[in-house]
Amino acid sequence: MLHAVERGLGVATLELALDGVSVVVKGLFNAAIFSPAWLLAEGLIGKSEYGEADVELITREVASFTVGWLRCQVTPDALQLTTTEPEEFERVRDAAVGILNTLSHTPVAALGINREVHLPARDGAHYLAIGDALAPKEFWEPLVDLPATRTLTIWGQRPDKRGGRVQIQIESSVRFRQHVFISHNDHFNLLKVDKQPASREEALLETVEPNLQPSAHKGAIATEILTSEWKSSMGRSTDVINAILRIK
Amino acid sequence: MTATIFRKSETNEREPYSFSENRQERMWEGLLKLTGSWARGTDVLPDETTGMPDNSSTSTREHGSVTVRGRVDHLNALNRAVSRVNSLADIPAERITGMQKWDGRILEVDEEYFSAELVPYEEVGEAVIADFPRDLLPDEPVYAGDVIYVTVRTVADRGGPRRTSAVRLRRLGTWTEAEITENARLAKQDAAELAKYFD
Repeated sequence: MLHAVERGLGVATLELALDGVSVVVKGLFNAAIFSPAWLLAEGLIGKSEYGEADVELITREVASFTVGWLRCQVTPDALQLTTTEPEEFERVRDAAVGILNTLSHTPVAALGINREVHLPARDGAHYLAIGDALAPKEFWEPLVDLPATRTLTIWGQRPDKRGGRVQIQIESSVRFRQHVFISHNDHFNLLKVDKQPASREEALLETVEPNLQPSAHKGAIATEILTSEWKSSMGRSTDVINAILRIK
Repeated sequence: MTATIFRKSETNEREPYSFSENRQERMWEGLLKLTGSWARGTDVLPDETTGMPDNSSTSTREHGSVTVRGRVDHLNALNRAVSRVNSLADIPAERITGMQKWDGRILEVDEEYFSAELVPYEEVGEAVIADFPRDLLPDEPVYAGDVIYVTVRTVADRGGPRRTSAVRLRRLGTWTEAEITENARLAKQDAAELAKYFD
């Protein structure tokens, strides 16, 4: 039997087939310096994680490896740290903060705190009901036979005075039968805003973001956001999961 | 108050959810998604900060490989070599059904145990002090002041539900001499400020 998750931690009693987080930092990175040995030397992982290192590729332009619970992917314009172990969510944040602190002169442009889950529907009817609630089919039924929701993207304004947006994607899970894939992207462009749009019309005018020029001083902003906004971000992603779970 | 002494957990040995059949695909899709911007030929970065696509599509449309050119030819070649294995995965037999988390700060360390003050992650409920055997953190020595994360969860597997707990050390990297010096300066500054309030 499924139960609604509680706000905040979000994994109190819910059975999720997959619950993962990732931190994505857009910037200018030198992939070649990233390796399990470097993370160990910088005190960002322990010997046990280092002992479990699985290096897939490290070149001048791309680094991709796993150290225990942490997956690290680096390209010239992005760093991504991921885990699918809910007990390690906070240590992914810590690893991101540690890397940004260590590479304090690295130009950074944007930050994403992402949560991705595969949520089980109770049965087929519930699975379809979720899709119908999110995208009603009255419009589609005269146009296509047996319309079903496959993918949906919603943008929302940030609930703070930071630049960026909240993006939620709902899809049919292609990993697990009768599951709903939910992706919650808390996007920060590392700029301050005086106020968020007060209406959807106003928000429409701001869908094109300002050019995100990488800047060395934004690394400190990114670490401050990771430190201060993490719980809030996890809590809001849990609220989304809960709301979708409550659809009957 | 001293709370429970938690047993060493076997959770560290647990395999993450098994998606090995799609691992290569996910990896390259993730890389290609990250590198898609290169083809734009601009120093202005795209704004997308979504994570690696964990919901690999079964559709036959291309996943960004057409946007990656030039500087990442080797990625294209590898991308082409990666076959699309898109079968639905079975739901893992082992599933987490409950978890509680605490943030902790180590107060005291002796030869066999360390004590830590634990604050519920949800910030609801009282802080407790718990004693843990030191071999829960075997990697390296721990010191008073270190921060830990404690999780207790229920795992439902084929043998029935079981409670496990784990203690993890927070790592924020090594301190540089400059950072230590700066922190020492700030501490002295704070101490001087506080001293004004005492006779």
